[in-house]
Amino acid sequence: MCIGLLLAAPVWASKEKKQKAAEPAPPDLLLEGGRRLSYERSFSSEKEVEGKRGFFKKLVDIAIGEPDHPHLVRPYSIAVDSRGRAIVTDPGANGIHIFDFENHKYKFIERRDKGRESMRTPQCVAVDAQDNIYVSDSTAGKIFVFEPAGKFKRAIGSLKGGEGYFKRPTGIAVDSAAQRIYITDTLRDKVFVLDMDGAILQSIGKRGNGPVEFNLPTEVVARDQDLFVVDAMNFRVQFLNRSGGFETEVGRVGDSSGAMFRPKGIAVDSEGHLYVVDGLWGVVQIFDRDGQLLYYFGAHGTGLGEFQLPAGLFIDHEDRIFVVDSYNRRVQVFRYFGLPKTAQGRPQ
Amino acid sequence: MAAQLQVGEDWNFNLNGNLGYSYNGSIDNGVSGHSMGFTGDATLKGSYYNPNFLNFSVQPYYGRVQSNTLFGSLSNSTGVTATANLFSGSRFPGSISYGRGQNVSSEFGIPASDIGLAQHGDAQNLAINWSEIVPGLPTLNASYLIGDETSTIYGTQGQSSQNNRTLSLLSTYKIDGFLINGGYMHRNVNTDLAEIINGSPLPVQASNSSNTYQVNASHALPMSGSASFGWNRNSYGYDYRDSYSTSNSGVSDGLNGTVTVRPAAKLSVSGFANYSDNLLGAVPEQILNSGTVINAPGLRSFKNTLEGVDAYYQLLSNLSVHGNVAHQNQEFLGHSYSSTIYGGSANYNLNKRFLGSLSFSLALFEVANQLGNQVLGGVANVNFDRKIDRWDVNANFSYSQNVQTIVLVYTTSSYGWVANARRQLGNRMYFAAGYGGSHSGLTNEAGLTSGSHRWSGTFLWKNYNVNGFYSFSNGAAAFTPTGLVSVPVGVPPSLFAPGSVILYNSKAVGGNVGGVFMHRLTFSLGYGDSRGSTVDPLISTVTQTQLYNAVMQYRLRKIFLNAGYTRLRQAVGTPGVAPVVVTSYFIGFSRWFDFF
Repeated sequence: MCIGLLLAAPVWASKEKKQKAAEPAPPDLLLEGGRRLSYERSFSSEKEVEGKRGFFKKLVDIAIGEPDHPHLVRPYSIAVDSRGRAIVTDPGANGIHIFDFENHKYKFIERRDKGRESMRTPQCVAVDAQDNIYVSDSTAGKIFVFEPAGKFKRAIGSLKGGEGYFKRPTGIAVDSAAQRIYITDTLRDKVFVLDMDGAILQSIGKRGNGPVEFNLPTEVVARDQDLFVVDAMNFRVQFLNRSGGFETEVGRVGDSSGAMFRPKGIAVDSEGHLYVVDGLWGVVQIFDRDGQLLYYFGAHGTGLGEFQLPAGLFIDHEDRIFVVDSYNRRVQVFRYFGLPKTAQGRPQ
Repeated sequence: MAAQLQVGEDWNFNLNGNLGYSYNGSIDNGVSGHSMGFTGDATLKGSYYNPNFLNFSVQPYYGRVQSNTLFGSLSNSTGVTATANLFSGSRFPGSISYGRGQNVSSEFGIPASDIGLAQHGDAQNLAINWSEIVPGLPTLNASYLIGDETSTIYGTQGQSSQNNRTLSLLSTYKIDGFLINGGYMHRNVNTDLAEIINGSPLPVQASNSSNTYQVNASHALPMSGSASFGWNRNSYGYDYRDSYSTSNSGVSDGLNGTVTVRPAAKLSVSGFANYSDNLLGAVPEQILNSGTVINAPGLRSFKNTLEGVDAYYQLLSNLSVHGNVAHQNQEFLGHSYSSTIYGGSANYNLNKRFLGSLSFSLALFEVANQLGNQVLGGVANVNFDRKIDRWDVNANFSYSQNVQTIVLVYTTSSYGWVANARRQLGNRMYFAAGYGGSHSGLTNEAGLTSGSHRWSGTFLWKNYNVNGFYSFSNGAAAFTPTGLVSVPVGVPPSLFAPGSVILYNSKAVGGNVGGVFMHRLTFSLGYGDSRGSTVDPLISTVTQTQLYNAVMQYRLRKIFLNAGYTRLRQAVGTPGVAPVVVTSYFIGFSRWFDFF
């Protein structure tokens, strides 16, 4: 009898929960030339990956409660691999979340209690052509490499004795075609270029505010022949070529549109536009190659389409824009619809 | 994300909690008992119209839900706590809180001892608070507190009880640069102590009531100065009934004034004048407020005037000097005393590392009168903090000497020490050990010294911990229903009747192993042993407590499987008294619900 009473309660509880109205999505942002930006969805826990629960699973849920769904704690960076899996680093949970929406699977990777090869502060993430996962650990001073299934493969930058070679590695980019790994070492004000085995081939930059000089560089993105580096405390993004030569820069300090106050994640869409997250203002600003502000989206807040301390940014091959909304403990997904393309893939 | 139930347009409720079922068993001195039944707890929170208009929280519990972890599975307790806030953020905020617990396990405390005596009893309290905060008008805060509790120490027959009532009114007002505050407090405490506790032939009954009035005013002066004046009156009545009865009452008045100016950035000068009569009348009141039963002697007229000048100068960034001159007249028990006091102190703080890791501070003062130098008093502190190899080590030694001017000059001193060492042994593996203690120094009362020592060690590995301790303490104390209370520092024991102050000593040893296995199984195993005695002029009482405790909880989604076992062996009374043995165990499950 007592078990029957206990089982009855959640049914009553679930009826009340269903009455809660869904929050409306923000309207599409209509842009010049028929372009537009649409809000798609947000996700924050394993629960959103799950498929439809069967009868027996529902029955068990009623009897003993729903299982714990791992939740984003303090997400920072994101990458999407060729299978469409969203890989999110979470320094707050000291691990990496892998959301596989297509196969309704979720995995959490962590490396606690692994002695000298423990992962302590997973910061930024990138994937290579084989979907291997590269994670910078800003505390351990290393790069951890995992297989697509999440199995630990190796650590790059691990010195004899377990210490990390890098002082504070943050941004990471992998170019499988060129067989290069790019790592920003924020405290050294440099970008290191490594081969796929982890051997350092070149270091780019020094402390300063001139061309190819950095003041606490953070994120890095490799795209075509360009290398984009967030030069955080110079309030700009530098465009370099693959040899480390200066090409141009975008950004200035200020508190108006087009200025950068706390530049965080960057990404480039199919039309070559540069997207820059501003952590303080809670917006994503979009620039062309000349540094001209095209538009921005987002606002400071907790609603859909709003951000609190946004950090990581990733744009996949379908121009889906993934923004890590760190303080709101979620990832918001938008989609950019650019100009229709020709059969050759060029914009009409 | 918690769900919420909305009733109509204005009411909001949120309810969650645990419901469960358990089997309980107990063996009380060889007599066994068994039962099965529901257990549970809940948290209901809500608001009406707006949380600032009315918000409330109610937390009932039923069955084996204990707030006390040391004796956590000894008894099934039931109770509720509730709070309601009205008009929060407005100019007339108020609050009401209520708490009630039945058959709650608790601890009869012994000063500086880790393990006291296990006791159980009922308690309830009610507090009402209301404020008026209207700009431009005097603020007012009124509160009324009622508290009642009864308790029985395992192994004794008698029941102790205490009830108290406190009414407090406080008001502040700012006008023409004056900050004025005034207040009134009425307090009534009635205490019944079971005879077995203090060894008296009859139960002790005591009641006291007091009324306190106070008015203070302050105003800013030129040269960053200020002036303040105050008056207070404390009247009290006190009845005591043991093998004999006594009662006394008294009134004390105090007037004080202080003027302070800062003629230079580094110099501060103040003048003060104080008057008080029947000063000692406040002393028993201070102790009685904690529920202590002390048979205070009749106190005759006492008058004290004190006037003087105080100066403070910052000589260097880390060195300041302070000096004062005061003249004092006292009348006590028909005698008159007069003295001039010269005082001085130097405070020196060394922020740099000295010999690697030492720092110290020192303050001294000198007291002199027409007969010459009397007492050198002071406070000294030595700190050591250093990393030695992989050990983090810190230590502290402090010494203080206090000069009381009651009955002209009365000197006490005490010293204390503490040392800790900690190191990381491996990945998520730590060890820490500590030793600390305190001891009384100079005293005018032979045989009333007190001291305590405590050794402890902790080993942590991942989610598991092992810790242990050993302590012993002794000194002078007085009884309250919740435990022994140390006689406050600086109060001469000679002010109390013979037999009021009880000597105690206690030794305790214990250990605990606990942890979380696979993020789901939480367990704790504990052992404690405490032996002690109290001595008053009439009778000696010995106490002995042995406790074995084991609890575990396994979580499967929102289901908790709970089990616990406690075995208490406790003896309280004259030497040779037979101990009482209480064994209690339970096993059951509960489920957490987020109802709405």
